[in-house]
Amino acid sequence: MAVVSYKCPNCDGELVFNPRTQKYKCEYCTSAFSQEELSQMQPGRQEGRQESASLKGAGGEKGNVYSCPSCGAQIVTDDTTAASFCYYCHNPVVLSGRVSGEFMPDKIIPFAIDKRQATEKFLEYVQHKKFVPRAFFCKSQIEKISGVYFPYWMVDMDLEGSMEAEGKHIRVWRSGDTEYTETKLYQVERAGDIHLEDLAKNALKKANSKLSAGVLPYDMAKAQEFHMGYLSGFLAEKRDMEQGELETEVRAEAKEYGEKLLKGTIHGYTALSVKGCRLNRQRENWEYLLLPVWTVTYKGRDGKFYYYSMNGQNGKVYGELPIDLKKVWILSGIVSVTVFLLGLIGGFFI
Amino acid sequence: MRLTFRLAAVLLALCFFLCPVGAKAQNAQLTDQAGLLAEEEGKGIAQQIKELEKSSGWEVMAVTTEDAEGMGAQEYAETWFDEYTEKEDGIICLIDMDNREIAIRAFGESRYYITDDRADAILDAGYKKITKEDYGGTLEAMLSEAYQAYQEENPKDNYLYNQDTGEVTDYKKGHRRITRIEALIAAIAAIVAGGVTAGSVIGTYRLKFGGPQYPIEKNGRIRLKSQKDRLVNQFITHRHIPRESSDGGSQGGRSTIHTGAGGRSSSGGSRKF
Repeated sequence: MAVVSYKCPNCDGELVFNPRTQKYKCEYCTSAFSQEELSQMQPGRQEGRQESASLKGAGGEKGNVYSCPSCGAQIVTDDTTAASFCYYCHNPVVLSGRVSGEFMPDKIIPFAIDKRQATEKFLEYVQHKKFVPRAFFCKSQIEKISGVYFPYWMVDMDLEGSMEAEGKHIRVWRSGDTEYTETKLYQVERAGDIHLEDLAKNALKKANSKLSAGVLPYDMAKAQEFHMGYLSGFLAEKRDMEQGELETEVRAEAKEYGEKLLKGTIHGYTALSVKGCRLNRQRENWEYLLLPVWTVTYKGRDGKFYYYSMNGQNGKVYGELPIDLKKVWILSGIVSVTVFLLGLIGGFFI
Repeated sequence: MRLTFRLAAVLLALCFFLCPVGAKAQNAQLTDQAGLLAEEEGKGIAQQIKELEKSSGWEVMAVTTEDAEGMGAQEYAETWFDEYTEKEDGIICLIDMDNREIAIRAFGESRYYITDDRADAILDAGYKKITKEDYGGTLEAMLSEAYQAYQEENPKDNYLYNQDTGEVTDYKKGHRRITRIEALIAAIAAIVAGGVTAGSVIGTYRLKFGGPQYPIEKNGRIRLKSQKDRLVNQFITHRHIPRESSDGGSQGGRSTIHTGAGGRSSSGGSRKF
């Protein structure tokens, strides 16, 4: 399997993808190149300049030891790593075999937030949380922040559905000392074509499902054709969950959303009781995507490690937060006292 | 030393026999300071007082005086009641020989029973007797009318009119209070609200609730091919609405009240003879 690193056409220095400029930047001569510019300068090598394609893994295609194209040192990876760094020269490398062939992503959303912005956004997020212990988070305590392209399955689905329901319309009016209630019962039927877009599913077993789902959704309009170069300077994982493993879950979700959409077309009733719903899949399109996630490992002042994921496109943070229980009990006490007093006042005047 | 002891004993004896307050304190329910009542009359009145107190739970007093201490009959009655009762509710009937006036004052709950009309009836009954110098009969008649008022009046129909401020207080408004059940419900609601608040904060911070939702409004679309809403049944039911009873504020009996020297409000009236 080839190990690819991206070199500057001007000075042969390492090129990494810069989320701010959305260009490749040379760490040495500070030259910047767009994907189009790189492709024009190196026609025939769409994935950038392949510096080394040597595989010295112990174990053929499934080997996890590779040699760095820059310094020749061994790079040890796990089974799903698709992009990493050389431990010795810190040269960014892409394991091209893990993002090509059947594992070639259909699309990628490049990072739009760089490391510094990610750190700022993370601190801004946690420091604005009212029940986090004061001064719990500080920059120096951020143990590790890494930009990782995580694998996801993105599913578009067309369904044909119909729904039968009983609608109840109730009208109440008074005449003299008599109250009248008119009840009208309707047989309601709806049928239509349903389209669901971008049902996202995490495709990496070792990923924390909550953290990987927590950063969704992404603006899929900004998804781009996959180029390995986008991975340069970041970590990346390849999928280890196939379509078949997720089909049942995705279809159940799609059914739920389809029902919701059909029900949403029924208006104007006081009460609605669904009697039946039928949904037939017409078309299903699965796409394999790499999505940008900043993962943050934070060592709290309580000695505990906290893990967060951040959407690398919009900066949305997700993860468990430490709680200052004293603040929570104070709020709870204020609410209790307020409700108690309101209850007493209500009891007094009613 | 012996002289001091003798002097103290004499002073104590004087206080015991001469001090009118001491005399009042001996029997505050019936106090015949003016010496108008025969012994048998006193017993009968005391029995009436006892019965009315037992039925109503009020403090009931009957007083005669020949020295109103410079006060009017009503003021004297209010002052007396203030001094010699510990209860909130009660009435006092007074024969004031100083001002030649009879008076009835009602306090607390009894104000809703001793309305202006009832006070007039009590004074009418007393007046008939006192003009015949039947003092025992006067108090008996006044107490008897007061007892009748207690039995016949529905306090919820009556209201208080404060002649000093013009404020009208119906029975419901005058009896606003928080019951134990209400306090208990408020306490339970407070505990639940506090618990829900704490639970929702802790649950949210520990990712126990919600999580990301599929943006169905943005990513889901439906194109309807058929849409039917067919009326299959229709029926009308009806029920009789009971008329709300009036709160009685403006239609019930009025008790004109005023706040006396002791700070307590009372209803009633007085009449010269």
